[in-house]
Amino acid sequence: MSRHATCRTVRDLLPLHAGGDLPSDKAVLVDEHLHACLTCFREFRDYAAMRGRLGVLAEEPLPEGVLDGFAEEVMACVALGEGGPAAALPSARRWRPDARVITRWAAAAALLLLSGAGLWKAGWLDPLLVTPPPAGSDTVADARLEPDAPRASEPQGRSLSPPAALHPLLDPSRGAGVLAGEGSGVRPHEEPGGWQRGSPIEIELLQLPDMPGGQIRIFHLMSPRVSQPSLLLPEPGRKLRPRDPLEASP
Amino acid sequence: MSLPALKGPRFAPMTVPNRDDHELIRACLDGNRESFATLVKRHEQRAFWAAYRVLGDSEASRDVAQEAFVRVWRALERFDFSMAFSTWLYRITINLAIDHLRRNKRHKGVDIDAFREALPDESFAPAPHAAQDRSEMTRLVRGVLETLDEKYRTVLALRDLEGLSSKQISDITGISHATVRWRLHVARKQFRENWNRMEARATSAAHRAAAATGPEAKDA
Repeated sequence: MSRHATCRTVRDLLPLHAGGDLPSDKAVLVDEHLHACLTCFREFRDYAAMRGRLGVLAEEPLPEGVLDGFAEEVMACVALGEGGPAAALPSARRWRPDARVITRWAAAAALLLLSGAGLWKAGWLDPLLVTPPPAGSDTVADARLEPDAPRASEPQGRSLSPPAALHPLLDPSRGAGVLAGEGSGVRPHEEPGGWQRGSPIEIELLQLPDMPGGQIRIFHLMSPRVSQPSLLLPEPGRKLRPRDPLEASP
Repeated sequence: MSLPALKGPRFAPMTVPNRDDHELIRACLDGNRESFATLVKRHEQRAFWAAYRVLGDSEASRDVAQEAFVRVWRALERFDFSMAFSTWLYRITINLAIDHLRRNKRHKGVDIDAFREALPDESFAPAPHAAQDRSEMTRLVRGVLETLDEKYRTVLALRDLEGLSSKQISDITGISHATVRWRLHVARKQFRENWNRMEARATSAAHRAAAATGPEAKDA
């Protein structure tokens, strides 16, 4: 490394050399150059002085009392915030409720409530609500009915019509009413070889007058994967799910 | 070439994972909170100084250090026992300090002139490091350090103030070894340039002041 050829290179290395951060082979070459080049040596001395100034900060004493009770506060935060509230974090300690933020949130909540009330009054929320069936009748909300069945546009909550044909598994002597329609639903309970959630099913709602109260509903659920129809007794008060996200898919 | 020796790191080197720390962490994982308190007491100064190097504000540094320990507690199950606890603590603390700095933006782009005006005139006599007492010198150095961008300041502080190696800094900051060296190079260069610029302005200001007061003194 000759002096004239390498002054620029050496100066590029001086910041790292001043901190002992050069690999030893390069450090030796730089040292050799510094012994021969006063200009570079002065610059090196400048960097060395800079590190000396930084040393003042390295020896700075701990500000008085700054860590008093530090560990205790940390342990308190740990106890409060263990898997829990971010309010336990020190950075959150200084948070104070901002009146403007609270006002904005309150206004937004009021607006939301008013909008909801307006939509409800206009009847836009009706399709989302499941109307419980009136006593003595069964309903299928939003069912897509077969051609011989009443149209879905008819008022909901109507009584079942007399059976046009009874299912072979049902005892005709019971005189059940039948409404055949199709829809989709969620399987009410486990069944061997059963259909999956959202599978298309046929629903038959039966009224059995000889059962207690005459209002027990029997859902006949049949899916392509179930060869034999099954009779299920839903829990009292159970509602049909009139809309299923998969219903719209082909 | 002999170099002016810095006092070096305040703490033990971190090259070998501290077994005691690891035992304490295992005890913490077994539900022993006292062990964590011991761990906090052992490393509280380290965390504070790491934050202070970046932030330069003792109160904010204390908050950041506390938050670092709380995060350590929450993430203790994910601790990698192949590394030193202090490296992990440094990493969390430095990242929190940098986040704090970015949120506040207070330290970014400190103007040397503004810094100079904040100090008494006599601070800018030629060769102030020879004339000022230690606290005054500390203020000057810190002021110049804060003129550096946060990414350069962090590397410079970890290397020259905390005495960590480039490899350790790489582990802590998550940047490559080569990038650490490059940032260190730039940081030292900028620090030197800014310091020299500050001295030059101080010298010219002192000369102007002397020229203004000279005739009056002569008249008197």
